[in-house]
Amino acid sequence: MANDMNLQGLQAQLRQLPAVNAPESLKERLQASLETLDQAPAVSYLSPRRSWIARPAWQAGLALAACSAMLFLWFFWLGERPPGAAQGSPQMVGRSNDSLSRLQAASADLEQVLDTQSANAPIYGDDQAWVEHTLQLALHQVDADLAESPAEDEQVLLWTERVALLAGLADQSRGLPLGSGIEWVQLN
Amino acid sequence: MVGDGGHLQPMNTAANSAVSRGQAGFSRPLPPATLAAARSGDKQAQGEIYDLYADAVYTLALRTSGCADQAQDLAHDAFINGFRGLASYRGEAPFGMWLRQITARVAVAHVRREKPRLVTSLDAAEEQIAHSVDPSAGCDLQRQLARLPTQTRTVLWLHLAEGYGHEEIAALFGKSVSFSKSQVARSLNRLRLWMS
Repeated sequence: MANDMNLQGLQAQLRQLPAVNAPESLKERLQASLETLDQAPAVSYLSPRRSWIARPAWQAGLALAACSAMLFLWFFWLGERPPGAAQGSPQMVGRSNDSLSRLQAASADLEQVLDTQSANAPIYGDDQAWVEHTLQLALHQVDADLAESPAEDEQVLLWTERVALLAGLADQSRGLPLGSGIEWVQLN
Repeated sequence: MVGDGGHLQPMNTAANSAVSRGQAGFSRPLPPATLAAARSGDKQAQGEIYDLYADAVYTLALRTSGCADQAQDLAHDAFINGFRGLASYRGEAPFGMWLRQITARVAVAHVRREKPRLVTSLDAAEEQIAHSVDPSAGCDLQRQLARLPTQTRTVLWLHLAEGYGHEEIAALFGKSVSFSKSQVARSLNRLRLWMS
């Protein structure tokens, strides 16, 4: 057999391997899953982009949470730098506005990614639906909070959260693990 | 529910044994009436689709994952994704090939999620083989395949057995074409070494 072990020989041998019968338990399990899915509440009214989502699970949720936490920590680190770092800087007054505009630009970019992404990914299951449902709800809440015209510091926080949530949706739409494709938003 | 004149073909025929039967299973035609019924949520039609492609899906899942338990999970997810995504099937490719692509995506996603495992001893390798290889088909090649890392085995199987091009595999894994080529070359070298 080793003598036949060139690429063509291996290909021929692999193709001669017998098919394996699927176990009976698989069909029963599949039927049970389909019934459960049929009974699950629809979430599509909140998810116009649902068919783009390519994977997640609880690990993905964890990754999103970690991603959001990193963004927040980074922001607070910027806000709590030693006074020397900011003292005498005339740009301090404009810092928040600049951060806001950058976050808003990043948010718009991510929305554009979501709006232009191909919607052909056929992989979509209940896990994906629920994760996206969660993300959309969070996004909805952020937008609702933003609509109440909060203070400027609060606005920066909300826009940061919005960017993180959109980045999560964009990652999934590209089939990437949550948080893997995020680009840092450069604040002041 | 089967369309007029449409009937399910026997799953294991002698004619199929000369080629990869998993691959042959994917090329089985699906009666349009069955597809239409399955799209409308008909359980019987979905069951017929399952019966038609179950062995092919499971075989691909088993050959790539190398583990019966994982293969069941992958096949389950592939069918769920397939049934849930029936609306997105445009009919540009045969249904079996569409389902094969879904199965391959699920398998690759599994590989990408899986942490690298290193079989550190012959005993461990034997144990892994014992849990992964169909005992009724005690082929030496299967035993050696089971020794390959999951990622390498997946690339090798997709390329050689399922006929995926290096570009397609690179796209599935989100890596370069060189990655696919090197994985195939490495697996060939290893199999040569192990089987000599």
